[in-house]
Amino acid sequence: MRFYRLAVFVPVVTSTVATGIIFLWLLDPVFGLVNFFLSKLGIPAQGFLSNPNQALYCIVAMTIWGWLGFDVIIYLAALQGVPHELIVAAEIDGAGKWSSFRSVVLPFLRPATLFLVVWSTISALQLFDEIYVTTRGGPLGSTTVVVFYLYQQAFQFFNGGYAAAIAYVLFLAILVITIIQLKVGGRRIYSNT
Amino acid sequence: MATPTLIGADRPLDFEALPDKRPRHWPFSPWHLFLIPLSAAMLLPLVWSVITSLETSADAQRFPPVLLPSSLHFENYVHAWNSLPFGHFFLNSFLYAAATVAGNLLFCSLAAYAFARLRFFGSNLVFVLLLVTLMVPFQVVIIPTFLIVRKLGLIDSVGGLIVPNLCGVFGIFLLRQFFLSLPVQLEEAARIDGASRLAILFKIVLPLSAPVLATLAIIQFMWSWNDFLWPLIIITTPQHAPLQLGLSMFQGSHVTQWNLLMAGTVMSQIPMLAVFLFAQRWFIQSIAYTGIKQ
Repeated sequence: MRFYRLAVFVPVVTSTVATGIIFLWLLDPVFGLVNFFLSKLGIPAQGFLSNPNQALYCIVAMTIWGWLGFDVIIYLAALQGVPHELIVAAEIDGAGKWSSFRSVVLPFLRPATLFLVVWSTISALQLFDEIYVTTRGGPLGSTTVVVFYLYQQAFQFFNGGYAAAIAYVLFLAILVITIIQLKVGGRRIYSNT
Repeated sequence: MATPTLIGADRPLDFEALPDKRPRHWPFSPWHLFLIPLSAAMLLPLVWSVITSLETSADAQRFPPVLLPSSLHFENYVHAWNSLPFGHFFLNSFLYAAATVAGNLLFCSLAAYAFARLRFFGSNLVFVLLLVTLMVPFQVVIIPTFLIVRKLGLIDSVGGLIVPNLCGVFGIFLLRQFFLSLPVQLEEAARIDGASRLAILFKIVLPLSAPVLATLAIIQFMWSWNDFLWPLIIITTPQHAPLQLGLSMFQGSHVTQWNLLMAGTVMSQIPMLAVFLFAQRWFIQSIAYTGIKQ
């Protein structure tokens, strides 16, 4: 168990810059390890981060690798809060493993799930480091996320006013999305537990 | 910096307490069938970067890749270290992290104690306003912060990294919540004995707050150590760059030398990884307690 935990948590302390560089290498179109595995399966080499249709999904895979451990830590903490008596009671009442998980444990995890949904959404909307290190918004602008665009406008093209406006629109978008998530998710928490 | 939560805040994490009910007819828990591939997938990028860092550049640039190098080339690390001022990078990162940890511990304690115990005109309003700023993403304030730091003459210096991060709202909030949970009778007794507010804070409140101070220190250290966007904006001289920015500069100058690039990357991650391995439980409790990563 200790080993599994370590395997999942180590990416959390790996810096975003290092993560980006390592994935750039793993997903290298010519020498990359992933294309090697694909070739073993008989799949032709892919462009990955250099293919406009694939680059964004590669960024997604990379961020999932980096963030998974954080989600696991939060769920672990939440799992400690599930009263063991309730699970025992459910099993005495004849609930199987799956139904006691679904009806007893899952509802207890709902606050953690809601938190992770909100947190991950905000983090994703603020993604920057990974983009800067790997694709710089390319190829063909396919990975130009909001904050990277903001950075370009402010510190490469020196459109400070426009960049500040982008920042405020981003803030408003985050605010509105978060409020919607909390309203929808919060309702489920209170009506079902 | 980020939004705090109170998930799992009321008790320490105890992994061993999780119920373990494996069915007895399997020689091992079937979970291993899921966990082993998952762990392999999680560790693969790191293992592969270590392997590449020990290969010759000819071996690194070969397809199919050389999975097990015939000889180990530790001199890649020496080359990486010498090609850019990595010593400066580590030192700058350490200064940045240490100064922001110290600043946050001191200033956040002072502010948090004021918000927790002193009633002054507008204290609630000011506190609510502070909390509101927690929701404002860093990108919104990045341009004004940049202008202020430029006015202070701190552009392209480690001081410019440190000053805006000396005191964070998150730390104030975290410590205030903890201070509120301490018994006020202790402080009242000290006041009757003639202790000043500052003496109470430093001699009574802070010694009782060691766990939450450690949490704040760990989170702030991790955050400063891995910070990238702010250094990228204000630092241009390699000698003044902290580690993550330095690594990115290193990437820019060694685009196709993957073995050296991996050596630099692995090297840059070693200190944090070592600290994490030694204090894994503390790290995880801090993250779970605050709901924060970098």
